[in-house]
This record gives sequence, structure tokens and C-alpha cells, in this order.
Amino acid sequence: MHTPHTNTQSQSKYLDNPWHRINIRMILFWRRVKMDWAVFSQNRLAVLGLILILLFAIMAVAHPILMDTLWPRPIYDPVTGFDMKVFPHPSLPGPGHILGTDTLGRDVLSMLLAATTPTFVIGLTAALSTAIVGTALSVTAAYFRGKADIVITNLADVFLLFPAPIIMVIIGARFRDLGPVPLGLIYGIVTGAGSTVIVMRTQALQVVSKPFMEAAHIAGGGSWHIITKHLLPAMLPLAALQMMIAVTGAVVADGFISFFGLTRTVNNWGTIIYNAFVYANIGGSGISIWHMLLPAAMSFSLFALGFYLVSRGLHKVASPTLREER
Amino acid sequence: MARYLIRQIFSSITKLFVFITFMFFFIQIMMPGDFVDQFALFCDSECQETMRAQFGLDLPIWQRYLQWLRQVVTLDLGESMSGQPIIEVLKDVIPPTLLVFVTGTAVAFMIGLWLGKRTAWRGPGFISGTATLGGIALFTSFPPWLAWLVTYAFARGTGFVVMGGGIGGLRGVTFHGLTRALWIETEISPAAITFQIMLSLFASIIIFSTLKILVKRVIKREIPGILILILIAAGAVGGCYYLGIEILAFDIIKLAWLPTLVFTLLSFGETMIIMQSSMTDVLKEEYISTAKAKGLPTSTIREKHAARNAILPVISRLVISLPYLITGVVIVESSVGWPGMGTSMWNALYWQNMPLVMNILLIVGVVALVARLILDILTAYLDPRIRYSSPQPTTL
Repeated sequence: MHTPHTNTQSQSKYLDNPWHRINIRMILFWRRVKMDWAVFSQNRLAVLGLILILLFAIMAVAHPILMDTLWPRPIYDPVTGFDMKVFPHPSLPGPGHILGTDTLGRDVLSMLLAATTPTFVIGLTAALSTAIVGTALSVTAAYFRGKADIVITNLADVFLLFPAPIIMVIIGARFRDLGPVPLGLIYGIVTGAGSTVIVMRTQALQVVSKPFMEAAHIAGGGSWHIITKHLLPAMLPLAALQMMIAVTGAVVADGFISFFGLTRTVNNWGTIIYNAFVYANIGGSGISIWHMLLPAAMSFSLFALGFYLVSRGLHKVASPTLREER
Repeated sequence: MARYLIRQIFSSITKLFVFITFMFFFIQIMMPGDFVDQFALFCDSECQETMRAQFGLDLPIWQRYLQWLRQVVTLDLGESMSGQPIIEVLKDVIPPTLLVFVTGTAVAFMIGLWLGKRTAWRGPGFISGTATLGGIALFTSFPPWLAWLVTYAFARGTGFVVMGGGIGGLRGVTFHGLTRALWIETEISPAAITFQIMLSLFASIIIFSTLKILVKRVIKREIPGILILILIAAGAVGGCYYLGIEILAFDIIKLAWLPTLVFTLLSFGETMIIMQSSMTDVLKEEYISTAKAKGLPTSTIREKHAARNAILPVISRLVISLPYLITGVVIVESSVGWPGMGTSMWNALYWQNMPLVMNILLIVGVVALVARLILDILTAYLDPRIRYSSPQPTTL
């Protein structure tokens, strides 16, 4: 008779120590990560996507290091660099310039590497803002229902109509020198309040209708407690999935508008492609533009591909909660 | 049902109104300057004022808004700022977009469904993996680059130019690369011919799909899909001959296949992926095991038991992503240089030709919401639970 009582007492004493609590959290978290990784790594394409993203991360890190060590700044600067020894520009790949130089005599590899960081920043800003806006709105709609639900879902339908790249262009025309962060933010908010809410609300509704939510209510949990402790953890994998999809969209949209010269971003894969196209249209002199076009275009496509493949893998991780319903 | 219908129509109109109002004020307030400023180079301030008064740009923005709203309600769309009536401009730009994107979407949908069905049925493996990777890689590839690559591979030396950057923004909205000698003699515009091509294509599709259904009902025999496709193509060509526009039509098709191909390549991956995951879910159902245990032929299980049930979420997902089409239309058209709605909206935005921008956005909004409404009504018709509960957006 006494054992359970003492047991809970010792348990609560054990839990009173904050370090023990954090320790338990960490163990649980690690267990969950391991289980999710087991599901994730079954999808080989998703692992391929992860490798692609890692490669791009290495590219982003490599540029400043290379600029400080191997590459003298006047020759290899991604914006103002010029190599006097090479003639004519653009030149084909050769010693010193692994991917050749562009029409203005800049090193293509250096430009390529320098553009990686802003692309990451745009993608991650868009991803984070999509996840935050989408999760907040969908959880509010699904938990409180009623008027909040009607307003949010109808708003999402309206937001679905907004063409995000065009809005990015318009805001970019007003505030010159928009950096990657605001551009990503615009994209993230437009998609986050639109399609993400529609997808995530469906899942949130399914979670809310489960018995453990009712149990939490009966146990006397307040709205805040139930949302943060029970509803949000169930939504996290889906939020991660939406983040990956947002990265793909934001990067393509940003590349498109910088391809049309409508942002002031100097370093972008879109700008390199644009320069290559302009040269191809003007020149036609037989000099190849492939060494400019191919790396930039492939970087774009592979970057988007990497994040999309990871999102496919996360879809598997996120779906067990979706399937329990049946 | 009627009450549900009225409620949905009312809410669609409200959404359209909110969208249009927001875009109107957003574009005009956010974008620096206006249409007159774009021509300020050879115009002093007095001349600019007269121009503004002529376009009605001197009025406060809410008056302009009310004026435009009145024009929309009375269906008299007025003139664009470059002087042509809006209706004429729309008549020129809508048929090319419809031809390329309806054909492209239909082809991409069929390819995507077929691939998704097959890859899900095979399960993970080398062939399905390659197909999935290929579809996703095309879907995530950078559109101008893909357009350039396709042009380089198939249309080098045909005078087809992929537009690069600002040059695309400055070009007018016209067909490039048409045979001049043919079009000098006729009065008909290329857009009108495009419209007639589309008419004969759609007529052919309707005739032959009805034929297929009739044959199935009456003689209980399936006509193979490929035969139907060939018949439809032949019917469309025959229609062009019947209308007497065959030479002009071929001149346009010679250009139109390229944007269609680019759009198809870009978009079939999405359908394929949705179909794949939907089909994978369906294949786990018990009735599939039952069908297998009964010893039914594989193709029957795949086509009749699995694919039919898997296709519903694909359709609803695609209808919901229809608004994204305008982004896609703008991106694909301006990278290939196809003179449709996307390019003309992009150019109009560049010149701040507001009446044109707003009317194109209006059309896009109407199309997207009508498609959504039809989807809602269909789901409500099929599933009575939705009709009687509170208004809910379609689930994915």
C-alpha cells in the first residue's frame, strides 16, 4: 500500500531538481530524434537531399575562408574583382579560375560561393516565418474554433491568391536595397498565412479531436498549457515539412526576381544566369557561356532540390500522427 | 444544399473583393511614381499635370478605386493607359495563355498521374527512385534555365529567343518568330487564330471522350488511351483545316509547343508526388488485400481499386493550388517570351499601367475562386456531412 505513495514522492523530489528534469527532457528528445531519424533515413532520396544541403553549407563557409587565405581580394572579390592577366573576358575554366571568369572579369567560382550565404539566409528566413505564422494561426483556428476559425480560414483563402514573387518585387521597388532577410520574410508571411495554414489546420483539428486533449482538459489544464504542451509538439514535424517547402519556393522566387534585375542583391545565382543570357544574346560570337550558366543554374536547382527531398523525408516522419486516425 | 451554395458564393465574392481591394491599394501606394512618371523624360511638370488629368491620376486614390469598381461592376472595363480598350488587350493575351497552360496542365496531369500510379505500385526501388528524383528535379529546377535548356536542345536556329532580364520587361507583348509573309496578307490577329486552335482542340477532346464513354457503355469495350490521344490530335488538326486556318495555325503551333513543353516539364512532378503518396496510402487499405486475395488481375486492382480512390485528393489539392498558377504563368511566360497574360501583366506592372494589371488580377482571382467553388460544391454533393456542419475550407 505504501509503495506507490513513496514512489510518487521520491519521483516528485527527483523532478524538483531542475537538472534532473533537463536530463529527462534531453533523454526523451534524443530518443525521439533517433526514432525520427530511423524513419527519415529509410527514404534514400531524403538522405541525398540532406547531403546536398550539407554541400551548400560547406560552400557558404568556404568562401570567407578562401578569401582570407588563397584568393587575393583584388582579383577574386565577387563584386569588384578583376584579373589583369587573363584576356579576353569571359574566359573559359583554366588554372587560377576553376570555373573561368564572367563578362566583367570576375571569378565565377567566387561569385558562386559568395551567393550561397544570402540564398541560405532567404531560405531560412522564409522557412522560419512560414512556420511561426502558419503554426500560430492554424493552432489558434483549430483550438478555439468559432469566429477565430472562420476569420483565419477565410483569410488563408485570400492569402492563397497573392502571388508572392510579385509582392516581393513591389515592396522591393519601394524600399531600395532590400536585403535577403526582408525578402524571405515577405515570402514566408504570404505563404505562411496562405497555404501553410490550410494544410496545418487540418492536422491541428485531428490532434484536437483526440482523447488525450479531452483528458488534459479534464485534468484542469488551461488553454496555454494545453496548446504549448500537447498541441504544439504534435504539430512540429508538419511545421518542419512546411519549412522545407517554403525554402524551395522562396529561393526560386528570389532567383526569379533577381534574374529580372528587380532587386538590388548584387550576389545572386540569378544575376549570374542573367549575365550569361545577356552575353549569349549580344555575343553569339562563338564563345561558350556554359561555364557561367551551368554552375549557377545547377546550384539553384540542386539547392531547391535538396530542401524538397528533405521535405519528402519529413513527410514520412510527420505522417504517423496523420494515420493514427484511421 | 441551396443554402450552402448561397453561403459559399457569398463568401467567394467577399474573398475576391478583399483580394482585389488589397492589391489595388497595395500596388498604388507601395510602388513609387505612376504611369506618367515613366514618360517624364521628355515632359515638363505642366505637361505631366495635363497627362495625369487625362488619365485621372490626379484624383485621390479612393476616388480612382471607386471609379474602377464601377467599371468592373458595369462590365465596361474602359481603356488601359496605353490607349487600347482593356477588352481588346485581354482578347489578345488570354487565348495564348489558355492554349499553352490548359494543354500543358492536362498533359502534365496525365503524365504525373501515370508515373505516380506506377511508381507507387512498384514500391521503392531503382526505377521508381529515378522517376521520382527526375520529377522532383524538374519541378524544382530554375524556370528560366529550363526554358533556355529546352530552347537550346530543340529549337536552336529557329529564331526562338529566351528573354533575359530587363530586356524581357521592355519588350512589347507580341509573338516573336512568326512567319511574316503569312500574316501580312490576313486581317486576323494571331490571338484570334490561337483561340480557334483552342476551340477545335477542345471540341475534339469533348467529341472523342464522349465517344469513348459511349463505346464503353454500349459495346462494353475499352478504347486504348493512346488511340484516343491520337484521335484527339487528328481531330484538332482536322478542325483547323475545317476552319480554313491550317497554315496560320501551324505557324503558331510551331512556336507554342515550346512553352507548353517547358510548362509540362516544370509541373508534372507535383502531380506525380501527390499521386504517389496518395496511392501509397490507398495501397495499405484492406480492400486492396481483398482484391489481391480474390485473384483479380494486377491491372484491374491498380486501375480500378487503387487509382480511382487515390485520384480524389490529387484533384482537390490541384484545384487549391490553382492560384499559384498565376505565379507560374508569369515566371514561365516571361522566361520563354510567350505573349500571354503573365508577360503582359509583368510588363504592365513594370510601366505601372494599373488598369491592365488590376483587370488581369481580377480574372485570375475569379478563375481561382470559381474553380474552388466548383470543388466545394462537388465535395458537398458527394459528402453530406459537410453540408450540414459549419463552413469549412476543403481539406487537403
